[in-house]
Amino acid sequence: MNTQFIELIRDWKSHPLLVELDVSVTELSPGRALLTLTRNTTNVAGVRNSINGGVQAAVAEIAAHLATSTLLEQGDQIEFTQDLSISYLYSVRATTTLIDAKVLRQGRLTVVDVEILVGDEDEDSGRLNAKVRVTCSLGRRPSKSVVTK
Amino acid sequence: MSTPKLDSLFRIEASRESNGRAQCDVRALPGQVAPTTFSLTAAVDITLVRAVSTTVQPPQEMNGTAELNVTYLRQPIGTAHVDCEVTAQSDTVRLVDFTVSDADGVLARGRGTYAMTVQRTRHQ
Repeated sequence: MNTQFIELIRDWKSHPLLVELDVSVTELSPGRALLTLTRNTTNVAGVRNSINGGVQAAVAEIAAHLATSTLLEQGDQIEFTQDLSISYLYSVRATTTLIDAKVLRQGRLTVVDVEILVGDEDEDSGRLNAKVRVTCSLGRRPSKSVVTK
Repeated sequence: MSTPKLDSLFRIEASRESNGRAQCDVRALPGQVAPTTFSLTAAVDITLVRAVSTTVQPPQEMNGTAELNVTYLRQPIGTAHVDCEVTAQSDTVRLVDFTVSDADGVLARGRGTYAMTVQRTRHQ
């Protein structure tokens, strides 16, 4: 694990959504975030006993934000997700699922490619379950200095 | 479609569904002033499935969301409202258009494709 992002990981670890959905940060490096989603009674709510599609999309979006966060310059922030497209290829029924987010383009609009894959513990390890593209809108944090007349 | 734990987690409330249409409200997570786009993205998929569930006619069966595309125009302000409507359908596909709005108007639009299967009866 890259020690450069310890604070970032600590912030995200305490995010209630990630705790309840049993998502952990497995790898973080500049422009990349790898998350692990473990099946539990909350996230399994799809057809054929699979992980819910809404959960997959939400976690992919979180992974995209995390990957983008690793490249933010001083004073920059993610304003909001501008666009998300997800193609669901197979039902997600593995014990663990990997969410691998990689920044494709860095700029005011940052584009992130996210793959949802079967985790290492399962027979179909590495199989692509869903492909996601997330575009994040970046902006500058408001300056703390106050201008007085 | 019942997903009470996810509804609670993403603060999805007041769900209504009938005749190819489903709607819900999404409230801010604890400690926040407005819902995150993560919550809205999840709510859209969950509500889309509920809209599709009202259109199933045997021997059709629900198979799963195939595609979901959402474009956010801005960040949400306060409680958001998700409105999904099945706008076209065949035996194998449902096309769902949706709008997410809040007190200031529309904040996101998108489209989902839901795959259906037809249960074949076996001849003896």
